[in-house]
Amino acid sequence: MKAALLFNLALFVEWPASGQTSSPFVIGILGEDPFGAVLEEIVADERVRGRPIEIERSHEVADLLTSDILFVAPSEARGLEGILAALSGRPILSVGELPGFCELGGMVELGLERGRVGVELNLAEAERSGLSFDSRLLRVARLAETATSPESARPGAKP
Amino acid sequence: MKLALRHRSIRTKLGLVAMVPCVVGLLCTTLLLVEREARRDQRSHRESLQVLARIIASNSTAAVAFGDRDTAREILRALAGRGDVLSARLEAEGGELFADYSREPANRPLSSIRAATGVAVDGDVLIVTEPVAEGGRRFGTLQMRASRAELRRARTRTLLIAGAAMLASLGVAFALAWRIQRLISGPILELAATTKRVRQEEDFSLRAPRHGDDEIGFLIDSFNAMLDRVEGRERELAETNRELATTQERFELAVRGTDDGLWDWNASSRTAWYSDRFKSLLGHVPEAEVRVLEDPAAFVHPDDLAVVVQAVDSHRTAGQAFDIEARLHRAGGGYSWMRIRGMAAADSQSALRIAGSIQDVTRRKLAEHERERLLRAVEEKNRELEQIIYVTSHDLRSPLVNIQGFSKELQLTCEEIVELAKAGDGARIEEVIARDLPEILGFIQGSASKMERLLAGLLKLSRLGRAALDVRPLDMNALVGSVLAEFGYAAKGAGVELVADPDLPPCWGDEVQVNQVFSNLVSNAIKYRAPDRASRVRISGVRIGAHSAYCVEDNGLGIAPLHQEKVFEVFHRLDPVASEGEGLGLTIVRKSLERQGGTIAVESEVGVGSRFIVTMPAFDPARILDLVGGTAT
Repeated sequence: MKAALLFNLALFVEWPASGQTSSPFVIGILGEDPFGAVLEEIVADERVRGRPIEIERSHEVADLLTSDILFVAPSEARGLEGILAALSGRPILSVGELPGFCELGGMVELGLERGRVGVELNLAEAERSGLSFDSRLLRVARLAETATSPESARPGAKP
Repeated sequence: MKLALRHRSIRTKLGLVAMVPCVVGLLCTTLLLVEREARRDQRSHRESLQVLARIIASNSTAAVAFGDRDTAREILRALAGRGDVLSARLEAEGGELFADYSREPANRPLSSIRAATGVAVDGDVLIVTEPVAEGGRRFGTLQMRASRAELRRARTRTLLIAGAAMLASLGVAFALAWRIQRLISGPILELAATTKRVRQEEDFSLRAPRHGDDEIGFLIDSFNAMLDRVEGRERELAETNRELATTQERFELAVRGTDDGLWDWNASSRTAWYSDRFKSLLGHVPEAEVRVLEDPAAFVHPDDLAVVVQAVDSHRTAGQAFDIEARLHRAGGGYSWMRIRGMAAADSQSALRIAGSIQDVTRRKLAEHERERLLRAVEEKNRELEQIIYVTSHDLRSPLVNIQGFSKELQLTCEEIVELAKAGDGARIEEVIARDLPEILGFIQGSASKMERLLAGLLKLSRLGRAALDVRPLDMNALVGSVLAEFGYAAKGAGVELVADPDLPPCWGDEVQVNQVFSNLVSNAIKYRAPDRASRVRISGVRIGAHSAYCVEDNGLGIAPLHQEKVFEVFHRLDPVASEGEGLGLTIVRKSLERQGGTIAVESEVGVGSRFIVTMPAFDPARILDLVGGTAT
C-alpha cells in the first residue's frame, strides 16, 4: 500500500533538474526494506516523466545521494536526524514513515490517520531543496508545522 | 392554382414574386441558423462538460491517488455550480466507488461505470466519462451525467426568437415589396384602367399618365401615341362622316326634290338598287322587290324590251347615250311610259355599273299619242276635204259642163230658129221648138237638179259633223224591225226578202242616226241586188267584248276588192250610170258611226254578195273610257 503511495508521490512532485530525461528515475530505500518485491512490481514498466524507474537499496545514506526519492525506512529511526541533515539542500524527496519525520526536516511523511494513509508535507524543506509539490497533492496532504517554514499553510489545506 | 394565379392582378403577381423567394429564403436561412446554433450549443455543451470532467478528473487525481475520499467528494461537490450536471461518480481503479455526487440527493444510486472513456448520449442525458490519471498512471474513472433539457429549451427559445424575427422581417419585406411593386404595377394598372375607359367610353382623348423612363413608360408613351393617331383618325372620320352626311342630305334632298326614280345597276353581278320613288312610280310600296333590270322581260312592255336591251348594250359597248322611253309594268296592272336615262360609272371602263333615273312620261306620251291621233285625224280630214273638193269640183263640173254645152246648143238652136225665121221656114222652126228645145232644156234641167242633189248631199255631210248626238241604250230588235218595215214595200216590189235575227244585242247610240245607218245599208242591199237570183238581206248581231257587232248581209252584186275600201269615200259609186243617188250614203254612215264610237267594215265577193259589219259600243261610251282607265294604248 505504501509502496504505491511512494510511487504516486513521484507524480505530484517536481524536481529542479528534471531535464535529465535519459537517466533513470531512482527510488532509494534506506534501511530495512518494508516493501520487498511489491515495490518492484508496482514500478515495473512504469515511468516518471518518461524516465525509467530504478530502485536502489542501501543502509548508507551516502550510497543513495543520487536518488530522486529516498525512502527512509523505520529501521533508521536512530540516525534519522543525521540522515535528514545529509539530505538537506539536495533535490531528493525524502519520504518517511516515522512520526515526526517532517518535524525533523523530512519532506513527506506517510502515516496512518484514522485508519487510512495520511500524507504530511514539509513545504519549507522542499523549497529549500528546490522541490515543489503539486497543488493537488497539497490539497490531500497535511502541512507540517515547522519553525523554519516561512510559508503559511494554504487556505484550502486540510486541517 | 396555376390557372387561378394567371387571372390575378399583376399587383398580386408582383407581390408574390417579391414575397415567395423572401419567405423561402428567410425560412431556409432561419432554420439553418437555428439548427447550426443548436449544433454549436450541443457541441459547446459537450465540450464544456468534457472540459469540466477533465478538470474534475485532474483535480481528483491526488485525492484518488492518496485515497482521500473527503477531498474527492468536496471536489465533486463543486459540480453544484453547474445546474445541468445531474450526477457524478468517481471510481477507483478496479471499479470501486470512490466518491459520488448527485444533484438531487433522492436520486437513485448511480450505477457503476460501464461506458468507455468519452461522451455518450442516453436519451436526454449526456454521459461524459473521463479517466482519472496523472503522469500516464490511471487512478480511476470519473463519470458525469448532464441533462440536455436546458439545451433543448435553449433551442426552442432560439426558434421562437428566430420565428419572431422572421415574421418581423417578413412584415418589413412585405411593406417594402408592396411599395416597390407599386412602382411597377401602379403605371400598368393605370394604363389598364385607361385602356378600359377608352374602350368603354370610346373617348380617344384620354391619356395614360406617365411615371418613369422605363419600359412601362415607353409602353405608355407608345399607347398614348397610338391614341393620338386613333384620335386623329377618329376626328378625320367624324369630319368625313359629317361631310358624307351633308352630301347624303343634299343627295336625299335632291332625290326628294325630283320626281325621278333612281336606279343603280351592277352589270357584273346583275343586281340593282332602286329608290323608293322608283318603286312608287311603278305603283310599288318601298318594301316591294323590283327587278326591272334583272328581269326585264317581266317588267318591260314586250314591244319595248328590245329597245331597252339594245340601249343598255350600246351604252356599254359603244358609249352611246342611254336615254330611252319605254313602258314599264305597273304594280296594279297596265304600263306606264318611262323615260329611262343612265350613265356608266366613270371609273368603270367596261361599264359594269350603270346608274340613272326614270321619269314618268305617261301623260306626255298620252298627249303625244293624242296629238298624233288628232294630227292623223286632221290629215284625214284634210285628205277628205281635198277629196271632197276634188270630187265635188269634178262631179259638179260634169253637170255644169252639160249645162254649158246644152246652153251653147240652146244658143245654136236659137240662132237656127232665128235663121229659119228669117228664111220663113215655119215648119222647120216648129219642129225645132217642139223637138230640140225641150230636149236641150231637159238636159240642162237634169244637170241642174243633179247639181242641186250633190250640193244637198254635201250640206247633209257637213251637217252631220255638227248635229248633237242623243246617246242612249237602244233596243236593236225594235230599231231594226222598224227599218225593215219601212222598206217592206220597196223590197216586195224588188223581190227582196228582208230577214232580221231575233235577240239582236242592244247598244248605245243616237237612235235617229243608227236608224239612218241601217236604212242606208238595207237600201244599198236592195239597190245593188243581183237581178238574176232571188235576193235576200239578213241582219244578225252578236256581242263582242265591250261592243255589239251587227252584220247586214246580202247576196247581191258584190264589190270588187279594188273598190271595197273606196265605198266609204265621198261620191264614190260603183256604177255612176246604173245607180242613182249622190254617192254619199256610206260616207255619211261611216262618219255617223265614228262619232258614236262605232265602226264599219265591208267583206264582199263579186257575184256572191256583201257583208257590212257595224260595231257599236255595248255600254255607255263615257263610262267605257272609265273602265279602260289608264290603258291608254
